[in-house]
Amino acid sequence: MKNIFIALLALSVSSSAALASGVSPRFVLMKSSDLPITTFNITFRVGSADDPKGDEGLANLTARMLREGGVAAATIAGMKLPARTRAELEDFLFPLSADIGVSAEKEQVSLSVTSTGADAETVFGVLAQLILAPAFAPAELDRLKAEELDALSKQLPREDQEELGKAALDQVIYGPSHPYAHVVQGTVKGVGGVTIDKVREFYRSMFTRRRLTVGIAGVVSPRLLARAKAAFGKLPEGTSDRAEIPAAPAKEGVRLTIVKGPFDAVGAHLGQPIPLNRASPEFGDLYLASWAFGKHRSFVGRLMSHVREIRGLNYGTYSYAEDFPAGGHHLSEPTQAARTRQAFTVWARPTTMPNGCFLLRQIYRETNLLATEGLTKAEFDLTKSHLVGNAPLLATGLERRLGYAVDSVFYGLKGDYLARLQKGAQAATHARVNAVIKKYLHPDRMDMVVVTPDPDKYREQVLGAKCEISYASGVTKAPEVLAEDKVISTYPLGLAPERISVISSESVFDK
Amino acid sequence: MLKISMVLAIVVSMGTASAGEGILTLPHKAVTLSNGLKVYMVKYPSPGVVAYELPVHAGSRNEVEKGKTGFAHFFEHLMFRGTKNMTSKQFGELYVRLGNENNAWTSNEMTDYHGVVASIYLPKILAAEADRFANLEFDEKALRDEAGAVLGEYNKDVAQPDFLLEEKMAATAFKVHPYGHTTMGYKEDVVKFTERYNDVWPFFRRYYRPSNVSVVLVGDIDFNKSLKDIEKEFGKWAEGKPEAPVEIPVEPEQTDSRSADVRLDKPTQTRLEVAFKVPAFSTKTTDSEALGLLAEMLFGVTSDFQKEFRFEKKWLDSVSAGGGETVDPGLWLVSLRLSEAGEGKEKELRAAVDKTLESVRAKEPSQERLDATKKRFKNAALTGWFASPEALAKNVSWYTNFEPDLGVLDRIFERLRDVEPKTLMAVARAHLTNNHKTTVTLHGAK
Repeated sequence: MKNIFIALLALSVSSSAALASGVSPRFVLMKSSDLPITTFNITFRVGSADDPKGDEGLANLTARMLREGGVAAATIAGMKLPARTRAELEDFLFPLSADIGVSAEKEQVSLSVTSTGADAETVFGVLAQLILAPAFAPAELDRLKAEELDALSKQLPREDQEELGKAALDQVIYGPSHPYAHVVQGTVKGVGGVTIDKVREFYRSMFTRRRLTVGIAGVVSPRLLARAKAAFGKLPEGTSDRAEIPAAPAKEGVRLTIVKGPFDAVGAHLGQPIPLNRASPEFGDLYLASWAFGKHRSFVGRLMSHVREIRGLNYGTYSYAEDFPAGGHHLSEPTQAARTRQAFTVWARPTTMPNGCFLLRQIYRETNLLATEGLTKAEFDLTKSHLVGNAPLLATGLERRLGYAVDSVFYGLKGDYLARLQKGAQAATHARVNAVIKKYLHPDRMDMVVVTPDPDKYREQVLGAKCEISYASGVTKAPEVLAEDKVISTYPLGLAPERISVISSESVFDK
Repeated sequence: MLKISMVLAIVVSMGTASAGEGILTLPHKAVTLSNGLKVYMVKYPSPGVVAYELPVHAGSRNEVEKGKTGFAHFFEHLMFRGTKNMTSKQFGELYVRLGNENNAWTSNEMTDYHGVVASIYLPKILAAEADRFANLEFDEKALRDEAGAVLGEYNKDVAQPDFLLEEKMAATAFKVHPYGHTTMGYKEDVVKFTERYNDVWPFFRRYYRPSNVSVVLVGDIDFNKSLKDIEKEFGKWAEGKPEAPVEIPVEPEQTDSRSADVRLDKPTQTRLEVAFKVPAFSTKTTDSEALGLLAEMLFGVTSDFQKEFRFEKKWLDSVSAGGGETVDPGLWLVSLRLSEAGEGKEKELRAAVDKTLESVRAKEPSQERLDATKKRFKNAALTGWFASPEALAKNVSWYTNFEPDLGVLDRIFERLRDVEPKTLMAVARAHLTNNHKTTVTLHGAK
C-alpha cells in the first residue's frame, strides 16, 4: 500500500533573500529533469473580490490587459527586453508555442505557461516583462471591454444555463453587496465604466510583492532561478496582502430564486455558506462527504445514483465543499480558484420542463437526508478508499502539481495539499465525518436557484402540493422507486410564497 | 456455466524502442496479441501512477444503418451497465474503491474508455476492463434507463448554438457518408433508444472485438509485468464469429459550393463556418500536416486574418480553424463568431476568408513563416502531449486509431519536416477550393 502515497517532489516554498529590505514574494520550486519542459505559475492574491464598488470587472480586465496590453522596453534581471505590442508579442511567442495563459478568479490572478526547457529563459523574460513592464495599450482595453460586455450581456445570460444558475446562486448566498456577488467578468455597468487609468491604478496598488507567489517547475537552470528571484524585486511592496472577505450573511429559512432565461429545460441549484476552507481542520471531512454525496462529474455519489442512474432525470447532479468555477467545462478540480469563504453547494444539471419541480424537491430532500442522517457506513468506507487512491491522481502532470502547491501558499498550508488530503482521508472515521456533516449542513437555511424559461408556471408548480415525475413512455420503475417518487413529489420545501423571487437572467450580470 | 477459453495469448508481433531521435523519446513498446488485440505502452515519469486507454476503433462514422445513428455513443454509456460477472453497481464500486478516475468519449472516428489509477491497482483495472469488453451484459430495463440519460445529454447539447451549427454543417457537407450526422445521432433515432434492446447487440459484436480494440498504457509501468497482466486478462477474450461487415458509403466528390443557415428562436451571436472537403489523415503524404500548418498560418492567433478582423476591426471575438484528422475524407473548417461590432458584416467576412485562401493558392507562403509554424507545432507537442500521462495516452490512442503503430507519432513530425512552401500552395489548390466548400451560418432571434 505504501507506494500509492504521494511522493513529495523536490518541493520547496521559500522566501527570496535577494531583496535588501521589505517583503519578498514567495517562491514555489519543483525541480525535475524527467521531461524537457519548464512550467511557470505566477499568481497574485488579487481578484474580482478586490474590484472597487462600481468598477466590477476591473480585476479581470487588468489581468487580461497584463497579458494582452503589450509591453514597454525594460531591463529585468540583466535581460534587455524591447517594447512590443500585443501583436508583436504573439509573433515572438508563436514559434515557441509558449501560450501564456491568464486566469482571473475571485481572489487570484495567475499567469502561467509551459515551455520547452530549452526556451525557458526566453519565455520567462516575456512573462516577467508582462508583469513588470506592462504597456496597457488603450486600444486593447477597448477590445477586451467589448468582449466582456458581449459575454455579460449575451453569452452568460443566454447560452450557458448551468453557469448562469451557479452565478445566481453565488449572488443569493453572499448577498448583493458582498465581494463575491458579481461574476469574475464583472457587470455590464462596471465593465462599461473601466478606463485605462483605472486599470493602471488597480495594477499599481494590487499587483505587489506582498500578494505574489512565483511558482516554477521542471527544468530550472541556476541562471533561470537567479533571474526569477531578482526580477520581481522591482514590484512595489504594497500595503495589504489580501482582500478582506466578510462571511456570508446569516439567514433563517429557505429561499427560492427563479431565474428566467431562454432555455428549453430546467436546472436547479442549492447551497449555503460554510465557515471552512482548505486550511480548516474539518474541511477534509466535509470534502470527503461532498464526494460521497456527489463528486464532480463522476458516478461516485448518492446524487448521481438517485437522480440519474435510478430515475434518468438528468445528466448529472453534483455537490461541492469548495467553489469549482466553470464546472460544466472542466473535469479536473481547478487550481488558482482559491476562496477564503466557501459554500456547500449542489448543482443539478437541467431536466425537462415537466420534471423541473420534482428535481428541486428531490435534491432538497437528498440534502436534508444527508444533513440529518449522514453517510451510511458503506458510503463512507467506499468514498474513503476512493479518496485515498484518487488524491495522487488529481495532479499527475507538472502544471497541476505546481498549481496545487501555489494554492497551498494561498491557504497557508505547509507541504503538499494532496498528500495532506490523502492522509486526512486515511485517518477519517465514519462518526467524525457524520458529525462534521451534522455540524455544518443546514438545509433549513439554504438558498435555492432554478433556471427556467417559464417562472410563473414554475412558481405555481413549486407552491402546489405535489410535483410529479414523468417518465418517458415505456419506462418502468421498481415499486420501491415509485413509492419513493411519491414521497419526493410531496416533500415539503418549507417555502413561503414571499420567499420566492423571480429575476431575469440579464439581471444577474447587469449591475 | 463455466466456459474455459482455449485461446492462448501468444505475442505475434512486437516492437520496442528506447530514447530515439523522434518526438517519442520516452521508452515505449508495442505488441499485438494472438487474438488481434494491440497493446501500446510508454514509460512516463509519473511516480506510482499510470494512465490507460481502451480505444474501440469505431465511432459514429460506422453508423451506416438507417435508424441506428448514435449507437457508438449509446454503447459508450451501455459499457458501464454491467457484465456476466459483475453488476453495474459492483463494476462502478470496484473503480471507486481503487480511487480510479475513469470516463469515456465518442467521436466520429472512435470510442475511447480511459482512466488513470495508482500503478499497483492496474492489474485489477485490467481485469475489470477485459471483463466488460468480453462479457458485457445488461437487461432491457438498464438499456431504457441509459436511453433516458442519453436523451438528457442530447437535450443539453441541443441548447448550445455551436452544437446546432455542427449538426447543420455535417448534414450539408455530407450526403451519403455517416459524417453527415453528429456523434449524438439524429434526434428521431435517439428518442427510440428505449426500444432498441435487440438492435444494439449486432453493433457490439461487430466492433467490440479484440482485433478492433487496443490497450494503451502510459506511466509508471514495467513493460514485462504489464504485458503479462494484459495477456492474462485480455488473452482469453476470443475474437468470436464476426457479424457481417457493413460498408461505409463513400461520399461522392463534392463539385459545388454549398450553404445553409440555422435560425435560432432565441438571441445569440451570429456564427459563420466555412468548411472544405479534405483527404483522410495519413502520414504517407504531407497533406494532413500541410492542412494543419495552413490552419495555423492563415487563421491562427498571429495570422493577418485575425490581426485585421479580430484585433483591429473587432468584428470577431472567436476565430478557430483546423481539421483533417479523420479516418475517411473529412472537413477542414474555419469557424468565426461575430461580435456586436461584426453584426451585419457576414458578406465581408466570407469574402475575407475567400481572399485569405486565394492568397495561398496564388502564392507560396514565406519560408520564414512556415519554419516558425513548424517549430510551434513541435514545441506544442513537447509541452502538450507530454504534459501528463493522461495527455500522452490520449494522443497515443487518437493517432494509433489512424495508423496502428507507435511510429505514427514520429512520422507526423517527419511529414511536418517535409512540408515546403510549395506543398502548402499545392494542398490549398487541391482542396481549399470553392467546389469543395460548404458554408453554414447561425443567426439568433433579434
